[in-house]
Amino acid sequence: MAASNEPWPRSKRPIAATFRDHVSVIRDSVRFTSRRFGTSLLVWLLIGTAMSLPAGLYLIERNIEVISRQWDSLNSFSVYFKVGASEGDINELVQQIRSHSDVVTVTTVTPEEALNEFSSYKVIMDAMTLLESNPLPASARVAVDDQLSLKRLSDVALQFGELGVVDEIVVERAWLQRLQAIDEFISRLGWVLGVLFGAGAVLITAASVRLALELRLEEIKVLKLVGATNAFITRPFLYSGAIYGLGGALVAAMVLSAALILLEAPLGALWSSYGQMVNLQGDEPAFYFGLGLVGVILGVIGGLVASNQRLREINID
Amino acid sequence: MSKIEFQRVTKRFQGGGEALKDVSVVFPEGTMTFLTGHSGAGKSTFLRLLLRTESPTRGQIFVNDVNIVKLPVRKIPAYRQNLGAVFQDHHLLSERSVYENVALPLKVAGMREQDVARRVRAALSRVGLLEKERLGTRALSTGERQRVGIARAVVNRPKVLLADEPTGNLDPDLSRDIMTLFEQFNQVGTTVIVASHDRELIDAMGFRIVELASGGVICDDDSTNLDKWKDGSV
Ligand SMILES: Nc1ncnc2c1ncn2[C@@H]1O[C@H](COP(=O)(O)OP(=O)(O)OP(=O)(O)O)[C@@H](O)[C@H]1O
Ligand SMILES: [Mg+2]
Repeated sequence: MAASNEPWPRSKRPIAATFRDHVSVIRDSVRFTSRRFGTSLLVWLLIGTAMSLPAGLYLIERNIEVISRQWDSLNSFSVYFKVGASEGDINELVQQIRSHSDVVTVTTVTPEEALNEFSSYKVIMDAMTLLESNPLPASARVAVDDQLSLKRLSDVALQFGELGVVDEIVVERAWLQRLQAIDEFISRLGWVLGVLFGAGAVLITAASVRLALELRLEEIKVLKLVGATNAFITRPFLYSGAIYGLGGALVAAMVLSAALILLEAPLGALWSSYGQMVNLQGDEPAFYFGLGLVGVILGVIGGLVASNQRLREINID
Repeated sequence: MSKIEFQRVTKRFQGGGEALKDVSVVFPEGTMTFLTGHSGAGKSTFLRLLLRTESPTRGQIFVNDVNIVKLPVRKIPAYRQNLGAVFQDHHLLSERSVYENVALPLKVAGMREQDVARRVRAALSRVGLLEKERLGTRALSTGERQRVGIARAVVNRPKVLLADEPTGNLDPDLSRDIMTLFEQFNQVGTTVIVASHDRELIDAMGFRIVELASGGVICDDDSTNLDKWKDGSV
């Protein structure tokens, strides 16, 4: 008889049995984790710290990207008029700019419109109401030909800077390019750190799972003796890994939310100085879900690393 | 209902001598056999080879015509699930209750909780430990632990039952009860091999006795192996 069709009954485990296993294993793993809460907390903090740096860089990178995308399609500069400049003077200048051959459109923003733009930002509005008059200047956004180089754009912009009613000319694209370079750098840095710290998180979980495994060595041997498969034996450790990873992700999420809360106000003020309003990215559920998922995956990998390595070594009896 | 056959099996431990020397013996399916011999004769080694927790240095072991020596590692769990084994050193989980220990093979086999409970209680009542199911195994006497091991071995109604000194720590009455329990399993078709050095007890049981001495079979009431051994061909 061929060895492939064993003469003893194949243990056909119904799907329901596997499901039951999973449920009871989750229960056991949660119990095991909570019984050793101190250690678990330490592991969570370690993994959380390892995860929050790359995740934080990812958030920064994304925010910069969103900001730069707002200007991305625009080949333009902004003209800020002196506060108190008369409407007539402003109109005259706007006409002059419009007539320039490289200029495509000119959109003016009155001080009132500028104020309205802020109206959704409560903190700034509160500050504004303390002032008796509207402190915002009138401005104009000037879109030029798409093909224009940055150098030519700057030249065109500066040529209007000499005029009396103009307070300041801002060529967004100049610092946009700088921003994009920084963004690229942060993105790369994020990847490098992500790989390094991800490996770190895996190693931390692997070490912790390994510890849990040593504590249950006796049980593993007995399970092997009564015919448990490796999948059955490793399952609790994969769940422990997942719990460690998820806990770590939770810590990272808390760290990042706290950072976002702390940074929101000063960053808001910074952007508003460029006449732009930016909502910080990163407080949406999808990001936290992704973070949790990454944590779980790293944890499970850690669990696999630890248990595969150890199970191979265990010779029963 | 399984036939077991050892073909010229030798087991040499690293740094040790030969625990089994060219042993050939057949256990027809549905039979009950006692394996006896002095301490160190190789009884436990013999059973460990059958459990596949050790592999022979030479020779083949067939269970239902399948050579378990060549069984791929991934198929070992399914094979072991059809064996019941009582170990000389119990191998119980010290942190778990009597009930949980006995339930282990059923959980591994994926049985439903209600069926598990029914089977575990039936097995525990067979060994007289039903009232102690909630106790941790640390709280048990050695003989009680032995009986938990026996309950665990039989709970999944295995086709092959292997027992290594199952009555080593039991008093004569209890020993007899346990042997009778094995006999009952044998009567429903299970192939049973019991290692024991309690000559008085096994003689009284009246089953086939295979005697080992320093790794070789020196006496078998089948006598085929015995003749070969006397020839010096073994
Ligand atoms: N893992 C091992 N490494 C080296 N030698 C071993 C090992 N296991 C058993 N032996 C040796 O093999 C021989 C047979 O041992 P085994 O445990 O099979 O004897 P036994 O008949 O079960 O004895 P007892 O009645 O005392 O249980 C002994 O000499 C023992 O020292
Ligand atoms: Mg022994």
